[in-house]
Amino acid sequence: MIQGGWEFVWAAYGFAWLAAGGYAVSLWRRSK
Amino acid sequence: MKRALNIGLPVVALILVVLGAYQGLVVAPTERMMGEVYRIMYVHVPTAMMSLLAPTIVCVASLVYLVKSSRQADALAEAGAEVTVLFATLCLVTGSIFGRPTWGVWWTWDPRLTSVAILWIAFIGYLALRRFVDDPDKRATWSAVTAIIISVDVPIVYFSVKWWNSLHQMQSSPNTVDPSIAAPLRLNITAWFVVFLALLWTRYRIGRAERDREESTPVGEPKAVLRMSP
Amino acid sequence: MSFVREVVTLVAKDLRLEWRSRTRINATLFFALLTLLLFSFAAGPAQALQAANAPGYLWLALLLSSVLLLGESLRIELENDSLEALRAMAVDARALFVSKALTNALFCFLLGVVLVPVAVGLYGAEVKLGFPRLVGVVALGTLAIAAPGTLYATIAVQIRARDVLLPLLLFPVLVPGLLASVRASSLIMQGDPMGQTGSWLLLLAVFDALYWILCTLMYGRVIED
Repeated sequence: MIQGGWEFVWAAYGFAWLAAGGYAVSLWRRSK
Repeated sequence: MKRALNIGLPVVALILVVLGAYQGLVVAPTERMMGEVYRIMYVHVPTAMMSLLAPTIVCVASLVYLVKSSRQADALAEAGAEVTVLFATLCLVTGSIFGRPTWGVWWTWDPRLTSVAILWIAFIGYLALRRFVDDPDKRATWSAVTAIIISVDVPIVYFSVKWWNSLHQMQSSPNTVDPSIAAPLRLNITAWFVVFLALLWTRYRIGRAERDREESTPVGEPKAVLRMSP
Repeated sequence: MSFVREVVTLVAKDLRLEWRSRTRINATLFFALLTLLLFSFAAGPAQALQAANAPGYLWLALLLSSVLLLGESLRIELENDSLEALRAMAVDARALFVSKALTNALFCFLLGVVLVPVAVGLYGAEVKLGFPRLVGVVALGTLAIAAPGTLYATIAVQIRARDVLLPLLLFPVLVPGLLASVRASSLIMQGDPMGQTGSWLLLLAVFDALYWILCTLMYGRVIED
């Protein structure tokens, strides 16, 4: 059955935002 | 028009992601069977879809390049490959975090998961190839050939792994689940689609600028000189 | 000159070339045997475990040594500038690919034929459905390695970092071919009560056909100047 809750949700969202955001920032810096 | 895209796409993408996160994390109710963990779906499913859409664009752009030798097509393929690696990474990591509480393991040899993993490593190889070739025309042709070989491979990987390991998970579509859970998913798919477009467009512009610079520089001139010229 | 005659001439040329550099092929063979030995150290001394994993070890050893063969065979071409010469003689790129890939497939196959009995003996495995079928799988599997392998090796030898890039490009693509080869081999070795070997062989044959056609068609673009 399901073990765990919000900590997994935050881990997934946190990783997705950091990775997508990090890539976006690197693109922004390269495009200048 | 182009300036509107340059600024507009990232802004819309950011707004939609924030809205989507609010819908997914706050508005959507706790699910009866899975508790809170199911909310990972709101980031996992959209990134999984984009990690298949992006290589499709690489494949089409590569075919166009092989037929027409257009630099735009090559720039689009390059942009698409980078975005593929990003979204495949997101899909694999969020999927792994999803898998741990629901199936009890970080990784399983599910056909979909395995196909994305192969796609991910194959496109890392593709990007490595691009780095190692200096001649722009050879780089474009060889990477187009590589992209087509990878594109043919991914469906075969899917079916072979499906045969190899008949264990599979339920495939839930938004139609069969409760509207209060399905609506945020649609919003999040839209949001990540706009993120995808914004990243692809920005990377494409960078690629075009690089190609213009390459073209205006005589062959054989060192790169340091290239940077200093205005 | 017809396509077939062109291919035959080129294969004969390649075989002469490979014969002259036979020390290299011998070295590759011993590398493959060494790999088989190393796998049994990695698995530990339990005989049952080694026998169960024998098909996988066999294919990994074959894959690793095939990559060396592929890289070498294209490197000789490049060193002698023979690709340039053949291009200048207006040889059909498709004939060039088919001949090169056939030669590579042949050498990988011969390597496999030597490895099969060694692996069976070394790991204490059985071959319940007989050696001829296993050799058939080796033939189909090495054809699968040779087509994309020859194309990628042609790209890789022309750039820096060729040694890393060839496996990085080739291995992901070969996953379905490798999977099918290992499954078919292990069914032939360990018995196939459900009659599944046929479907794996079919998958392997489809993989072979697709990549031989695709790579033949695209090879001209890879070697163009």
